[in-house]
Amino acid sequence: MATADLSGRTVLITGGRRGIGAALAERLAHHGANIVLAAAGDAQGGLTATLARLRGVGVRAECVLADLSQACARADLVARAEVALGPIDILVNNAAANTYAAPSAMRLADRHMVFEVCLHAPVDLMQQALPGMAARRFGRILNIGSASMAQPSIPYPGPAHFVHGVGLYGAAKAALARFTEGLAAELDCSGVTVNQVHPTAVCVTGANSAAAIAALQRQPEMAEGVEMMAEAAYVLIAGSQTGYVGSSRDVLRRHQQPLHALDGVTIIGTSRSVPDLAALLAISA
Amino acid sequence: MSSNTTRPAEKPLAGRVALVTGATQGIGRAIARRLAAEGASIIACGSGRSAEGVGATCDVIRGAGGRAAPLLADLANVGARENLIARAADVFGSIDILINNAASVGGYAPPSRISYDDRHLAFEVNLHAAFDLIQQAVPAMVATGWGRIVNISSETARTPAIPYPGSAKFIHMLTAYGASKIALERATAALAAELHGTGVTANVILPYRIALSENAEMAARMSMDAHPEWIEGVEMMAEAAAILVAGRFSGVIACSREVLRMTQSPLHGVDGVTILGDARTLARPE
Repeated sequence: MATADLSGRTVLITGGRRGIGAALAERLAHHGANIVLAAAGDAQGGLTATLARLRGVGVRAECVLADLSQACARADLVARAEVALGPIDILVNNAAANTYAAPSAMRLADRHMVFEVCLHAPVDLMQQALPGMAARRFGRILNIGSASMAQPSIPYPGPAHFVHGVGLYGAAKAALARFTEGLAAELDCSGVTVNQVHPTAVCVTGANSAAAIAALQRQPEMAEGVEMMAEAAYVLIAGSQTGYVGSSRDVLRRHQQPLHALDGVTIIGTSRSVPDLAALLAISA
Repeated sequence: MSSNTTRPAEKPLAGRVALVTGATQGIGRAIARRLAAEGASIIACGSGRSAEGVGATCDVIRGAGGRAAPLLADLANVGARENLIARAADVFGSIDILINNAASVGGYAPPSRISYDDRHLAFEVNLHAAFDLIQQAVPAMVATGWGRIVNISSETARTPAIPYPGSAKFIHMLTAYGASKIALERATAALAAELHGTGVTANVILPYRIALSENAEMAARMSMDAHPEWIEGVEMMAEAAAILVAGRFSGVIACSREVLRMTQSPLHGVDGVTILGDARTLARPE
């Protein structure tokens, strides 16, 4: 059994149907947390299976449906999650969206959509969850960033059009990072921590773009498994540090933390571990 | 018309057209005057509320022998920015130089409470308006093989370190504004990479700390006694903008003083002739 240090806590995770979000949910469930997944819907599948897997761990798991790109659709999201499973102690803003258009070409409607999902929705949910967290003097907010917050240097790690296609997405994530730091400063000593973590390069999720997979096949050392993000998320949620913005591997390194499987018990490596890419891609194919 | 007889007949930006947003006062006006002094024709853009300031900017440019025309548009309004570059190009011809200087704080509130509307306003003006104008202007710039885009950022793009340079309350209140500016910086870096090799450059400059302009006057005067080194004149940003417009750098994100330092440039007045000092020169308020 993993340490039950999150027993009785309730987590709200956006975009938890698959990938990083589902992995974080599973890891936190193994530490005893009840989970509310927020998803746009289950047209592409995965939600039911993820909920079943979480319940199989022995915790309560529910879902709330909302299109995070719509301000009105997310206006009562935390309230709905709290109706489902009680006060939200831990908020993980994981959902993200991008159209991969270059900065000279991404039209306003798409820029608005990217910033709604990647910035304004996380801020709205933080503001909805904060009063309760502050009143209980405990809260954990974790935003999921992206390595694309920084413009890569030449030679690029992948195709140039892919690098250009994450420029505005990276801008939204950089804005979220700035907000994360500002909110952490405002909430210092309140019992509520705010942090942001991103895959060091590419997290192999089964939902990666063809361009990302092409880059990984040339540079397999860029890959990390979802367990790395889940480990970093667990460290930041179980601990008390705040205002941190950085990469998954950096979190493990700073905390001298081994890499565990999603069960929170089995040690599968270290901050430097690189997954078996061929096996992972075969599973996700 | 200029009383200065030592200038070469052909000014470096002669025949170029520059659009400067937020050209109503302060940094925007200084950049507009400086580019006009280098020979560019200026479209001075401001909102309807600031028609007077835009008019004054045009008057001072014309008084110095330059060409300038006002263009009023509320950049917070999506409809008002549609076709703005086409409207501007009707005046003096195609826009070669775009200075995205207009900015909105959105609203003064800490990150835990700043409303969606206030956040949205900051991102609309500081990021989306800038990129709408960029997207409208870039095709003609690429077609001619020459273009200059300079976006104006702020020190608040980076979370200040403790001890804070001012009151914590004020620092917190500028979080959303700073977030919009870091987004502008990141997006500009991507744009510069995308436009590499086209002859169109994209750069970001920001005041080292505070430019002594009308809208930052209170902050400047509060800091001036304790930290005179934080305050620069608006000529510093105008000098940095002129350097980046004249050169071929792209993807630079730097404070004004750093641009002067890395190019070993003196600091000129907005007339482009009078030497006021160098990268280290502090503001001299009247």
